[in-house]
Amino acid sequence: MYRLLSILFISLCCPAFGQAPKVELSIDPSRADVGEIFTITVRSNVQGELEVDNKPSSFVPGYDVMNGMEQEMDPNNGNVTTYYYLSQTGAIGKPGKYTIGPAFIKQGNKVYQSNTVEIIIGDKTQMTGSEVTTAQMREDAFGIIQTNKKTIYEGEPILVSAKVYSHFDPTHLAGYRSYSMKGAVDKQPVGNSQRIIVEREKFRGVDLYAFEYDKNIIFPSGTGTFKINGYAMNLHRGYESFPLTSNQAIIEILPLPGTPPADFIGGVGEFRITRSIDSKAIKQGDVFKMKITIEGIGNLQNTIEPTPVLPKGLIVYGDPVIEEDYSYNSHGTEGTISYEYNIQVNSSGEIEIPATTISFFDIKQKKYISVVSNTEQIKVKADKSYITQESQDPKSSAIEELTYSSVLRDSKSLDSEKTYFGSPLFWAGIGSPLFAAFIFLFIRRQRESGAHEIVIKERVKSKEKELSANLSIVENAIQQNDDNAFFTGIENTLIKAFEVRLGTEDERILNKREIYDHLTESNQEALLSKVKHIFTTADQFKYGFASTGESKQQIYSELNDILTNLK
Amino acid sequence: MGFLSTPSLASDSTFNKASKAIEQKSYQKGIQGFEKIIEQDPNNMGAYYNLGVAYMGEKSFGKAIWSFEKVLNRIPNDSEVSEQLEYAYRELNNDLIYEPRLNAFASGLYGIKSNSWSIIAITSSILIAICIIVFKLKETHSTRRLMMVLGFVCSVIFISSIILAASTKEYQSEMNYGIVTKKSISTFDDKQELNSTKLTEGERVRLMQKDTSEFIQVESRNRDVFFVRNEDIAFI
Repeated sequence: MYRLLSILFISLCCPAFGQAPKVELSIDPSRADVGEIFTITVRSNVQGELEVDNKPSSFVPGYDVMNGMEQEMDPNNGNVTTYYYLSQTGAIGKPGKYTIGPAFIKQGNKVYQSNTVEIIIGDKTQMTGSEVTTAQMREDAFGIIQTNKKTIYEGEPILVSAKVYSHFDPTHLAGYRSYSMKGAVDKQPVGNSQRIIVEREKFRGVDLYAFEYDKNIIFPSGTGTFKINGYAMNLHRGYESFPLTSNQAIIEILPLPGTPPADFIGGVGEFRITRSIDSKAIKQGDVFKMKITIEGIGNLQNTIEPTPVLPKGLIVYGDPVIEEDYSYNSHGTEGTISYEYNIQVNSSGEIEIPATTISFFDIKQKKYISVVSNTEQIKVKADKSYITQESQDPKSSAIEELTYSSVLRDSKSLDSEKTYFGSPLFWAGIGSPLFAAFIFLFIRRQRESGAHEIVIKERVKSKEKELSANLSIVENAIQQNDDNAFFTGIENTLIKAFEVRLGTEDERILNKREIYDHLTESNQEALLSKVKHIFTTADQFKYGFASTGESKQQIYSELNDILTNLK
Repeated sequence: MGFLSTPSLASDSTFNKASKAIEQKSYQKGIQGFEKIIEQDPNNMGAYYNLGVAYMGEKSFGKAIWSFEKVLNRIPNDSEVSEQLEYAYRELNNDLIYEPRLNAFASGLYGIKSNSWSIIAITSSILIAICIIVFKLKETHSTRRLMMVLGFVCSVIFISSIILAASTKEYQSEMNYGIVTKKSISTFDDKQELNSTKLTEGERVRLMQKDTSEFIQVESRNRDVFFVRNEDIAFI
């Protein structure tokens, strides 16, 4: 039947002059479930009649056929080659391992042969649908979200599809809005056909039309409970449209248990590691290529680069060249990722490259599994002219070197000391000296103030003594009838009396104006007139205006009155 | 006389055995040994440092960063630890780079303990008091001027040392940071809703609350606040 689908390549022009005939047969994915769509592609630089051999009898061709041409330039010589391709989708209805091909292209009398490809067809993945209510069952059409699991581990892929049931035979659908999940989600289609393939199916005892649509393998990120929001579409029966919205599905994502091993590459599924080197006999200073290949199924595309541990003398230059060859199927990502390192050999002799290990989480065994690559022995011929260079690349066997370069420390236990800052002891410590200084200042000031008062008192006392002495002079002058001494004494006594009264601190002698001002300000008019009178009489005598005729005794008694008043 | 052996001697022996295990590249053994020592003596900075080296050997860089940060928390001016941290972040090979919590000047100041700053503050206050007294007692102009300058300098030292004593105490007793120890961890808007942001190994987060429940609110280096699982973070 597949032979019938073999078609002629369409173009008749542009023969690939100078190019070796090449016919390649490929299949994507290389693992599928029963009834799941896969694609077979033939790619060639020659044209002719195509025929693919060994097609399985249970192969059912799909509706999607694509053909075309593309051009590739050889970067080494700039030659451009035209390739023609033909893709055909299909499905196999029986589990097993199938070898398809080779493909033949007949051009004139010549026949060009391709490689063969293998595909593993597994049993149909069991899907569980979301809840359906009785009300939904009564509708013309309703949809559910199907998943292959309800609980998965972090990193594990989950197969999700839209399943639609209807009471009528649908012809097509339109306005499809896919289901969605919150967060960063890697969603890849798996075995989807452009058209809907409707089958009769019993659902809860009711005979319904059903089809599966929009099947995706999803790699959710994070852990916890996730909600897959429902999809919506308009289901058609001819011109009639039946809008439907599915309900949501809930899945639980568990975190990976325990602490992952140090060489864990983030893989969840089943993985293997292989390693190869391009040369085992090399000269010191030469560079060889080491290729580490991670192969497996699971979340292969999300795995991280393994860390090769190299012996001393081998240096990795630059980042590895990464080649990815994988496809998505119902079980996740399947294929290989290879890392090609350029390694320079600095030392000579027989060097063993220790095995590279990786760890992944095995979902079936629910534990971390470690897989090991083979070890290699290389023979390095010494080159005396070669000057050993140390690696400038921090990634080259850096971890191994680290522990050697790190000097371990001796046991050093710090006291779990009590911090005194903020404690009463601390505040007392900083407060006491300052407090003491202020106390000192206070006492000092008190003392200075006390000494000053004593000085003033002594001065007042001395002035009082002087006052008494002056009075004695005045009394003697009265007895001796010495006018000059009398009036001088009167004047001095009066001034001294006011100095005592006003508490003049220094040795300064008051003048008459200050005395008058004081008496005026203190409203002692009577006393002022008396004082003025005495001073005027004394002045009249001193400046030759002769005595006013008043007796000295009278002036003396006036002076005594004033002194009494001042006291 | 074996019964007379002290716990200190026993832990010394464990310490030496664990160190030897690391030298022989038996990192797991070394990790177990040093974890045991730290359990008995949480102030053993030598054990934390060696534990960090062992984690580096195991390529558990997040945990190594946590160990070295623990040392740096008590000895902020330990340049060797800073170098190890820088190295660990480089080996993580993600977009994180090592950003010290303190710059070189601050780490030098914080390297002096709070108690030492307290003693400096007390000494400065004594000197200020002496300057005041001498200033008051001495009549000569030059002495008074000298005392005034000395008093000013001592006052500046006094205030600075009080501020530094307080800051150092706060820094050393600060437990508000955590390190992501897993390759990549999920974050949550609340305790149910998943956030699209993922935190990678070695990222330092600030704890918004001191909580020991399953989820804890943290602030990332981008100042985003969300919940993470308690088990995904190692607290400094």
